[in-house]
Amino acid sequence: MDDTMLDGNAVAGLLQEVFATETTSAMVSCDGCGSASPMGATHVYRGAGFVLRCPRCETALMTLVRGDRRMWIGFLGIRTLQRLAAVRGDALRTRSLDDWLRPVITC
Amino acid sequence: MAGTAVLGRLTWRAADVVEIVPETPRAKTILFDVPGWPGHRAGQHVDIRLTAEDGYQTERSYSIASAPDGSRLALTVVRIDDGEVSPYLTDELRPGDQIELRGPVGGYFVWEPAQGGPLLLVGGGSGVAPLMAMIRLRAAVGSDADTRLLVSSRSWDDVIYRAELERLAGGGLTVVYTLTASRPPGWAGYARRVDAAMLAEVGPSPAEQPRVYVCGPTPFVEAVAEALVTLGHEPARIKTERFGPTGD
Repeated sequence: MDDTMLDGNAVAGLLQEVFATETTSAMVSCDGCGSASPMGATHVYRGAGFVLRCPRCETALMTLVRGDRRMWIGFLGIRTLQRLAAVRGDALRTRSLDDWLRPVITC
Repeated sequence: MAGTAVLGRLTWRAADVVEIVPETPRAKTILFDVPGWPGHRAGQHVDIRLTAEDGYQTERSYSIASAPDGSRLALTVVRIDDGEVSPYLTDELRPGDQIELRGPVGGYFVWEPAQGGPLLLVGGGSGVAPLMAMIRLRAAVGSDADTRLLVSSRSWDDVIYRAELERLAGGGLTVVYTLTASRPPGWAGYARRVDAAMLAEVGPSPAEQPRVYVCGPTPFVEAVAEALVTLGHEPARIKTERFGPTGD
């Protein structure tokens, strides 16, 4: 284990810059192993920018590199990115996400 | 509207420092008033941006420690001696100063009162901050959800929010400490790193299907999450948030 590893929560702000919406609760499926994880649970490594890796197989999913007045976004290993449509009422959305997440993540 | 805190573009906002409260010898809570703050959910955080006179900018992410309360929000900052940002926040910032922040961000590591319990909250060091937002929200809405908070600290003096947790304990909230480096005389509590046996004793058991939130430095979170899975907790019910040295 790398002690400097972070997780997708640490780049919540950057992801929201990219997608203009909250993305840590979205499910990302890995092109390497096919498993799906919440974006917030991805393994994040920091260097010149950020690399988001699959928590199951460490395939690089995405890179975020900020430069002078621009950002480079690499979609290296994302097969799909799925988020639930906004539902009025946060509790309702969170509950349905959990219910939906269980069968996906135990595969 | 519920959606405004979640959807939409992030903008940097000016935040006024209202009050600074010492928590431990190394940690302070900074209370901000943020005009136009859209509200937040327990467990979310903010990005803070500091700009030097020469234009150099740096950003850090801090968990919100307070329950939603209008335009007010509290961040708890632990001073990292060779850090770039935390010494400024803990030593230089004064009431009346302004800093830039944006948020709230995040939506994965959050708890809503409607989700109820049982809850198992495990915090290492200042990792207790987002868990405190959940506990404060729980108290504010009068929830009696079965909640176990396990706090790992180096010493008794390093425990953040100690007095408030003492007041809030009871009515379904149990607070347990483990002190890993030094103990006060006569200490009868846990005196080791969090392990599977400790998590089994603090409970709830996997059969009760608690929602589990673990926040702390990366090695702490890895060890706790692994122990929880060993005990039989469902991985999908364990939400983790790691911070590392790069997070300052």
